[in-house]
Amino acid sequence: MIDKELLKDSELFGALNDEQLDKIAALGTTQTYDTDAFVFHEHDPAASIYFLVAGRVAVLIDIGLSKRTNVFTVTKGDSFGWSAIVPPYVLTASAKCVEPSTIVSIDALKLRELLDEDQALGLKVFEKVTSLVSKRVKDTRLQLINLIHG
Amino acid sequence: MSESITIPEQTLYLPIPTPVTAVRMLTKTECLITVELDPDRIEPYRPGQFFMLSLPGIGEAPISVCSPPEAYPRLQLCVRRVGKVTAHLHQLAVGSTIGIRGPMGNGVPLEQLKGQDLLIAAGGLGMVPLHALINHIVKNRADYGTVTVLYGAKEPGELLFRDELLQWGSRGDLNLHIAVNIADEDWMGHVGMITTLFQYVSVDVAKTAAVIVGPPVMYHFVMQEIRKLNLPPERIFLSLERRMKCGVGKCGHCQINEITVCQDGPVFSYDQLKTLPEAI
Repeated sequence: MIDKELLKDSELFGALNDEQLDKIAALGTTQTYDTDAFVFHEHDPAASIYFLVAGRVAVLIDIGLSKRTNVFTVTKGDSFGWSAIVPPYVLTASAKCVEPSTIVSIDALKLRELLDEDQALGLKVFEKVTSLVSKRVKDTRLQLINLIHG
Repeated sequence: MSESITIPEQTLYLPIPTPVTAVRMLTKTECLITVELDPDRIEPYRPGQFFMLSLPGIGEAPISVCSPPEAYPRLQLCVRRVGKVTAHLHQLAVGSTIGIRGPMGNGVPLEQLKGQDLLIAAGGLGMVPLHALINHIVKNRADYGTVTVLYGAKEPGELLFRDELLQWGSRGDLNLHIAVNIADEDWMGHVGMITTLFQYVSVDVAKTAAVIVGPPVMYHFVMQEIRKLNLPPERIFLSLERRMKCGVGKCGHCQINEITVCQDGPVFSYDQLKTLPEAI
């Protein structure tokens, strides 16, 4: 259980009403991480969805030979680990703290059950998840364009 | 009877032999060349202007001013190795001589920036002219309000002036945000396009000016973010990167409709450019 006020700064949950925030807050825990600590690893089952309360997190993609490339930085208020509510619920990247960070995690299994039961809430959350993934795609396109044409 | 031709001492057409006093590699592809200008023959320069650097028998290339006006008659020029002339410039030794024409172009309108909050956005090699501007601001800090610098590079190894970036970042009176497009796992900084740094920007529209320099592709996307800030077009300044050849508006290489970038620019207000579809 976390304080629902924390969720109001989240891009995924910030627009929910108080009743909906209470439901999500009941599934959340807050954890602190040291620099270099991994929040999750690519290819693992996605057990939680996260949002960053403080600090900074690097999103890393495996490129073979035990190496990873840093492709995106999560900043305060950003959500990450969206694979937790999008099939096949497998993480598409790793997340590593590049600063001491405070992170809220929401239990994915319980969240999916909640979104199934309360479809009005489900619609609101999935609109935000779609928007988040769309923003990531756009940012990735810009990075690609800049690498090719910049 | 033949008439002798008199070439004036100060002319933008005549390369002035100038001694190289220092050469330092900044990255794998950029070096910093320091020369000592002859104040009797070459006028003071300002950020955003450029010089034509020439090597006899090899060629000539336009290179942006990298040092602040306060450094005059010393001049620093950052050269990216991209072709024959720049490859030879990279091989210069201290004590050798290069030909210099300039300063060319209009430069950043320093008078209009005075008293303003400044939003400065540099992409890649765009940091070179902005290095001159930022150092000018640092030397005259009381003349400006809040200063925010956004700097984007492809990868950490391409970041220019890393020592100074650290100094600027620790000053406390300059908000510096750096992004790289891609990095290895050890990079602790921000990863993403320069546009993702606008989340850190808040401006007072009434007293903010923006100066943006970067590759052509950057302008398209950065201007989308700049427009969201609602800054007046006449207070947004962009420096255009075009293939400049003569530097004096004669050859037409850098012409966009009725303007020649080398002479009318390279710095333009967005007000001037927004109706020129080929400009940005």
